[in-house]
Amino acid sequence: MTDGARVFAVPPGVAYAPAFVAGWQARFGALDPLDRARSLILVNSRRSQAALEAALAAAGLGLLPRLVPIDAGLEDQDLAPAIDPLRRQLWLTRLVGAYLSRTDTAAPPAAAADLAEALARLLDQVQEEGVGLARLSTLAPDSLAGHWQRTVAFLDILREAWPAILAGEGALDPAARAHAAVAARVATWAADPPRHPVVVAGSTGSRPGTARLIAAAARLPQGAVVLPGFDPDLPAEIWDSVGPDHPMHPFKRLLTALDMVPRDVALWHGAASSPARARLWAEALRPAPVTDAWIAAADGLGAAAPEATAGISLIEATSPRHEAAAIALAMRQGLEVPGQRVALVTPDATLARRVTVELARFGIVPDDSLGRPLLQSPAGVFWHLVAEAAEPDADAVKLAALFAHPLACPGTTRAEHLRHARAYERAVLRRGPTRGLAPWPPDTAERVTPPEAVAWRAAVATALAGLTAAQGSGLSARLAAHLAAAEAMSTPPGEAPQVWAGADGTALAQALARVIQAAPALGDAPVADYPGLMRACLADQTLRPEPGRAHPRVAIRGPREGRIEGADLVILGGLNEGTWPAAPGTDPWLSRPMRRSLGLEAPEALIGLSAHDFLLGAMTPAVILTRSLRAEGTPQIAARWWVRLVTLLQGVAPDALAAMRARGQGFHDLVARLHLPQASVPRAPRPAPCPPVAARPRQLSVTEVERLIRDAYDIYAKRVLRLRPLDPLGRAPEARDRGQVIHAILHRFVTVTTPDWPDDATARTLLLDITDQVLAETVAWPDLRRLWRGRVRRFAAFLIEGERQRRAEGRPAALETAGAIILDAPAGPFTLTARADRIDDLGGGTAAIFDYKSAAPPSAKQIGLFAQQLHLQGVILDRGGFAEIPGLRAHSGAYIGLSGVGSSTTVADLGPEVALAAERLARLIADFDDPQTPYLAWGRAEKVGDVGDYDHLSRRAEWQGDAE
Amino acid sequence: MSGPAAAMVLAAGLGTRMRPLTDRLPKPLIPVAGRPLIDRALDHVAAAGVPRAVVNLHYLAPMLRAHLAGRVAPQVAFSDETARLLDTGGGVRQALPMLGPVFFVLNSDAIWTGANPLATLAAAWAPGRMDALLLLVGRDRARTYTRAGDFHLGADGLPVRRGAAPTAAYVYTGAAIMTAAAFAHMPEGPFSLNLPWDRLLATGRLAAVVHPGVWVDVGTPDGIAAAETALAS
Repeated sequence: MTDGARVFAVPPGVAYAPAFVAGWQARFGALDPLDRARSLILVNSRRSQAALEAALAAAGLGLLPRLVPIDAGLEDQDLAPAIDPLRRQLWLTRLVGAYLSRTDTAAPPAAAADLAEALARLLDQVQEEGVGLARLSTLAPDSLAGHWQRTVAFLDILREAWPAILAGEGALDPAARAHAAVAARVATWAADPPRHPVVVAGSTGSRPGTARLIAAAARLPQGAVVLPGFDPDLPAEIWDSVGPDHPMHPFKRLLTALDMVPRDVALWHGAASSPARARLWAEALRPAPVTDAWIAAADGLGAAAPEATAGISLIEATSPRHEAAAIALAMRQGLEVPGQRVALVTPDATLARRVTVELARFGIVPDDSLGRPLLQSPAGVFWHLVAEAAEPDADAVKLAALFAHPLACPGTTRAEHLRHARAYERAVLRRGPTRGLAPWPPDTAERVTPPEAVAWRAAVATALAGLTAAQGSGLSARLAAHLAAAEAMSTPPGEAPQVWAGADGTALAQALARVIQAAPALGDAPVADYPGLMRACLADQTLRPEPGRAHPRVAIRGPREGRIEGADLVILGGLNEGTWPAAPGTDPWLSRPMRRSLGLEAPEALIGLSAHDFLLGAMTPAVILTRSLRAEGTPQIAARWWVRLVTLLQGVAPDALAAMRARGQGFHDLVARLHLPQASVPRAPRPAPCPPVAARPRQLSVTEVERLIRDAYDIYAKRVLRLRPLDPLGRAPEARDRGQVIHAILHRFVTVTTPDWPDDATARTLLLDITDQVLAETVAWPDLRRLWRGRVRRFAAFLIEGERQRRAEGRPAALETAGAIILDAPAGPFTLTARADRIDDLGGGTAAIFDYKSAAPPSAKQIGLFAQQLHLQGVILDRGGFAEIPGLRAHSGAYIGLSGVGSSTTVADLGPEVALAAERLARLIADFDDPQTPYLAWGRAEKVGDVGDYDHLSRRAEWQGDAE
Repeated sequence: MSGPAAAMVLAAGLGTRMRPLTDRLPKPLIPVAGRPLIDRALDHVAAAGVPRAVVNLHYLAPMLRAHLAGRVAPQVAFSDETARLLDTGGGVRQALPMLGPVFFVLNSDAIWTGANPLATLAAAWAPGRMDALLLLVGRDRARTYTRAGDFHLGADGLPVRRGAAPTAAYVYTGAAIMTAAAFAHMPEGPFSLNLPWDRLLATGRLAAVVHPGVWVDVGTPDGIAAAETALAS
């Protein structure tokens, strides 16, 4: 110990706040009350301040000392204010953006925001170390790779430009300001040391500025430092080899500055909680190389393992969902112990949200300090949807999402808005691809758009127009337009805009006020990716649960908060590499050697801090460690601390390890029990509706008859219930359109060549010319035109070869021709209709029927059973149903498949088979004229993979797999 | 420029200084030169092109509500404090869900002549430099004002509290622009607007602009006569 520096520790596993208060009382309790009130306690954060204040008040010490966060404790210095971080971020984005646009780099302009964020971190680190950007020029550019030379060149520009910008702002960089404030405070203390106690609490001193301040405080006449979670019994050989990723590394800088080793640090109050547990973790987390030390320590560790691990459980869940459910069960069980406080400690906000949802099962709302991202709250989502919908090329999905949002009501009541929005969706957004807010379709005889609906669309257009028009403007103007649009889109008549109503709306308004303040820093240049920038500006805003609703004994905390605020049962969640510890971010601005030569810490130092957070939790007497084996289908790697513990125990105390796993497995097994249904739910029956005959259709087309055979429920839904599937939003072109285009091409090609069949080469040219014409007339998407033209080229040879034969045998007599016959049926006349693709006159009163397929043609086996089109058309033809060509009889036919290189299936004996088909048809119609015949869903499904438009309506997924 | 789209009109006071006029009538309904104070405040709001106003209510709330029922410009919403008076700051905080990120704050018991006070504020509002902008008036232009003044103006144009000085040259007129962010981390329940202002003063984010006209504090019955004189001249 040197110059009387007083450094104390509360060891890991001992609750910090009560231990701090007890030690305070022991040392300063005898002071005159006024002196006690004059004394100063500097704490690491506002949360710690609140926790220590509560603990001091609970101890009933009368007049409390002054508790001040370290940062705020420096506020009385006469320094310019620190620049708002968001404002600095936008300034840097602007500078980086200008740099990217001027230089030939690999980074796209949209990367400017991310690069600026990394740059801000770099500025902080450089200034915390007190290095200053000037040192950068000492990096010898010649020794660096080309791209590093370019970044050094940029940093040189920054070194000159940035101080001038800050001077214009009248502000300082936060880290530089803190550095200066610490220096001033240390100087004041040196010149005139305070007589009253000054105690630094809760800080590890891992940041350089804080370390300097703590070192100075430790040497004051009545100064002291109380380190959180520091173990003075750490063996010297471990301390000497502590690397940046070790849990004790955060203390290294401070103790080295004070020229101290662990055993110079005294305990602040009482004793360590569990020497056996401390020894176990010290060994498990020992810096590499470890194995020889483990072998040497094996016997002692093995003997102490049962005691050391008694309070530890391990949960290895199969998925994050299971992990959350197991955690919630453990928390719920923990509450059964009267007065016991339980806390989940995790850096994983998604896991925290999942656990919150699981806890809702028990009616528990945890005090969640991680909060919910503002951007995922209703107001945040609405704000974002407005921005996306106002983009000039906004597609149907974005518009429909905005309209469906609960806050949307553009100057109308919510009910009116929904009515018009749904009509607009059907009439416009589901009719085809749209860009922006397309107008209503023109009125027709059947459909007239009511004036209120026209006014509604106009109101939406007016609301969004300003923001759309602000595309080319700078951030400030764009924000102003965005505010106006969001308010106009959410204002019911005679009321205030709903976007600000509610706790999330107020939080959004406060966050936006900050963005508005910072926006001028980005300048007046157009913003490249406005929705993306907006997301970045609001990304770190979170919503806390409403005060008073949270359970007083259940908390979810971030790792750093666990340092001061303990709990009786601690659950450390999300212990996978990449989550806890987080992967060290790469620094796009400086390489590792460059960082080293500037005296900056290795990126792994952050892992050391994480390790310390972990150790504090892991030393709690009752602790559950949890991880998930997989996340989003990918196997996960356990956190390094988990791996170390498991490996060590496997060697020295496999039984203790098995016991820890068994305790955790208990919770995991309970999860499955949670989801066991209490009673078995019978399968939904396959629907087989029997509507009265009067409601059954008296007319079907040939294709509908085919459908009736396969899936009668389809005909029931379409023709009895009269339901039609909605087209998808912003319908993209699909197979149906391709079929229509190919039919149109064939129609024109056959028409042109009917009088005179040309030679093959001419026919081919003709076919491709016609293809180009048809595509140009009917297909709006250039990429599809090329794709479909390619398809026609592929089957052109097959088509022309076949066509030559067909022309040799007959002459096209009717194309795309409609036919109908009326049949006698038990319940009265029944009409069968058809549209035949093509019928050729073979001479002698006979005809061939052809059907074009844009997919593969039916196989010979399918024909007659499932594929009855040609046969049924034959029935119509034989009875003179095709008015264009009376007096012909069906002789033969073919399905001409126009996919791939082409293929066809011929029905040579169509003539004789038609009579059979007519009989079958009569029986089918008679069957369905019987009120007992059900419209069974998928009664004769051909393949399991067949899908229909009404599968969802018939709840097919629920009954499928039923025995036939 | 992201100008304010809403105005908070503070009308919930008990009006004790105006007794006996306020025994039966809330102060904002007291007529000055034939027009109630609240209407004069809302006229300024409408004239500045601000579409919405929020009026807080406590004392004789139903009378105020009924009086403003027919008002369309600006559109008026109410923030009800009949259960508990929240003071100026708490009143604004409760109304934040109706105000948006940036808004005017206007007292309903003062008379401004000359330029529209809200237009003066809007012209001087510079996002990025300030979280609150106060409209001040020189003490020599403040009629019936007998107190010591509120602010000095520093060389940089930023306001400084009177502090220990016997008098200060400028008086707060009861008109300001503020942001919602200024109300983050405020205590529950009633607090004065002085609390957020003091926090902003400490970080240099409180700014001020001087009203070029005359200002009358209609806080006392005498003030009404002075206000009527000022309006007539």
